[in-house]
Amino acid sequence: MRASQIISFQNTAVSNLRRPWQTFKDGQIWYGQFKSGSKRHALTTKQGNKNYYKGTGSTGVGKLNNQGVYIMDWSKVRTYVTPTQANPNLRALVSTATPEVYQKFVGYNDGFKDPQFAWDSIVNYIENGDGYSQVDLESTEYLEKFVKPGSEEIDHPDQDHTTIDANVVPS
Amino acid sequence: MFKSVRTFSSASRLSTRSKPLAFSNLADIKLRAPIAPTHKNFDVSPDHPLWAFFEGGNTSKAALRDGNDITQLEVRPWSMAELRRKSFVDLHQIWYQVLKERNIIGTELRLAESLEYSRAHHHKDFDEKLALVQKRIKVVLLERQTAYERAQLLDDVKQEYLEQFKQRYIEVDQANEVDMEEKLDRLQFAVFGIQPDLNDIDLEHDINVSFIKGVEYNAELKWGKHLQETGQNLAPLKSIVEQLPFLLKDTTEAVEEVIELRDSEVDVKMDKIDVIPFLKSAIGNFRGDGIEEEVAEDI
Repeated sequence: MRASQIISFQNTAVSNLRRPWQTFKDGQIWYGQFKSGSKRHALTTKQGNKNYYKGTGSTGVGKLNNQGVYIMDWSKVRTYVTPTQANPNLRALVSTATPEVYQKFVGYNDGFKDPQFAWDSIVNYIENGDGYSQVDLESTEYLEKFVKPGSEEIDHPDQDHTTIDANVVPS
Repeated sequence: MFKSVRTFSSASRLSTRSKPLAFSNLADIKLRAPIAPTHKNFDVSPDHPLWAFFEGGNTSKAALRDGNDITQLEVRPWSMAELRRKSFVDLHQIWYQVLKERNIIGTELRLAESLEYSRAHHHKDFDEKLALVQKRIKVVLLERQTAYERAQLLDDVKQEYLEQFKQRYIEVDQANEVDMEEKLDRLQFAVFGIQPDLNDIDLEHDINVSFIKGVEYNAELKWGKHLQETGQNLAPLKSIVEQLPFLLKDTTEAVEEVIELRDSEVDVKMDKIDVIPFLKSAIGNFRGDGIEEEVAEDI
């Protein structure tokens, strides 16, 4: 006689009645369907305990009062601000024929997040007006350089780019 | 004994009888070919907003592009450097352009799924390029926000510059006077958030502590310059009531107003809590579009 498979003993009606196999952290019982198998999936709206709320990122813009009238909370209503002036030159993607621009920082440690760079840009704007940073990128081989005033650059002789010093403050 | 309940109500029976049961003049009715239930028999308005969900807009010939056609497009995502050079308004627009493209791709992918179209992975690759642009825009904005927040801590540097600017403003020669005024306008905007044009000031949102500091700084500079030019020796400006005229009017008019105020010996002291309401009403009245809520309440 052939021996019964072990799996048949495990998945009996009795063991199934002995659920729950698992509980939530707070001790609340969880009637899951399976003991094993892949579990690491995102919870759905039907899972979780009584405190679990998974919205759809929609609705919830008000509440019912005791007379069953829905009171809107307009501060919760999502608004989408669309651009007002259309610039036809701006597209979603760039042509592959467009040369890429490179940016280089000299003297600023944290690039565009550098607070000193932010302040220097403000000062540049005040002193030199809008467009203080406009440079002819073709002449610089599409390299845009941001040099901190007073910092010295160690230039490699084979990469001799013209320095764009946009940070000149007239004293 | 039981009456059937499944009968028409008397009202409905009456109404059916009152209607004519047959066509009276059959000769007038013309038969035509049946209309086939197909989308070709429907006309859609050419400016229907849902056309934006198709590649060619209202001139689209097909709802699903060939996957190979998409690979033929010679495009690449915006690079970080390129996006950093753009203004907020431009980034806003690029975001929405990308969003529109992604809507088109989303429509096509949904269609491809139901048709079990084999070359839909080209659409997905294209969508990844678009999503990358969106991620980069977010990073650029985050960089700007980080820099802005960190720059708030450079208070010493700021005060030093403001002091130095004040000296330069007071001692400027006549040739550079106009240039210096323009610089002051830009400084007011960049450091204190005060719009150069009075009509652009948003009374609800723009008037805050920074604005008050800006008014104070602006008045100090102009008052200082006036004293330097005339050689007078007058007391410094005391409160916001004396400082505000320098923002609203020319220096000469503002100086006259201040001297008039001082001659009339009106108490110009103002509690801090009253400053913002005062500024709102004063600027509003000066422009002629003041908030008239309080007046309405009094009546």
